[in-house]
Amino acid sequence: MTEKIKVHIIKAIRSLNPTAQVVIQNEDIDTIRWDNGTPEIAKADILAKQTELQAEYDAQEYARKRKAEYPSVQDLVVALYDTDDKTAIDEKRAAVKLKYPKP
Amino acid sequence: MASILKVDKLDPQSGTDLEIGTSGDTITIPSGATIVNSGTATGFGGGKVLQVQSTAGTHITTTTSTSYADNITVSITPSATSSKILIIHAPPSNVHLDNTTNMFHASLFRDSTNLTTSGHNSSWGVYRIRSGEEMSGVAIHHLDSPSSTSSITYKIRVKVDNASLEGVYGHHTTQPCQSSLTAMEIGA
Repeated sequence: MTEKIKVHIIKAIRSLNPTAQVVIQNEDIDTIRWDNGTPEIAKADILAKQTELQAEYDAQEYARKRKAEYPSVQDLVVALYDTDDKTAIDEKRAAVKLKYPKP
Repeated sequence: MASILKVDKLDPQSGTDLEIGTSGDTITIPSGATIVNSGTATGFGGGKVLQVQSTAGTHITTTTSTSYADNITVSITPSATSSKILIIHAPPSNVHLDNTTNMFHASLFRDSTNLTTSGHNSSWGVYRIRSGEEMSGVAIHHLDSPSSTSSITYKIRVKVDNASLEGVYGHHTTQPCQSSLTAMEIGA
């Protein structure tokens, strides 16, 4: 079992079949129970989709880090009324972008 | 009118035990009377914990199913049909849900029987988040009278009320968490 799971198996299954009714124990692909008429999906297809979703998630790492360090909404509201504050915010955003470049 | 024997002490004859009553008789201690034991009393099993069975660990159930699925189980074989079984479920600290519209259910089962007879959809824990993605699990304590000396499996089972909900019982978004299920046999 993965210690830190970002994209669960169920996300991959639901990505392939949005109405799937399934149960998974301990994030183990061999425990999948397909309920209420849900057609089974091959494990290889599930794992491939999980890898794809994980890659998409990882590719957004820079964006999550930027978001965490960008000026707050409150800072932006204050900047609407003060030119100096707006300049400071622009500089802070530029610094964060430089710190976490887009891959 | 019953006969009344008034003495200060009853002693067995030498070499024998003192016996009161015969099999099938009932010896009654009336209301307000007291028996004081300063020696050793045996055979008074009532209320004693006769055995304890417990399961603990990381039990993660991820479901989008409207049918119940097992999360954590514990088995116990009562020693007498008169025994009661006290069930204690220490829930996981996190229940993860991915929408704020639908509900997630956790219930206590004895084998295939749902012991939760009231509550929404006969479930002990009804979860619906108002914001964010997670909430804490709720403890389940139940005193059962199975009237059986066969092996019984108690189960915490979970489901969603609508398949558009994805629920994870026993999981944080990044780290799993521990839970337990304990069954105590209490003598009658």
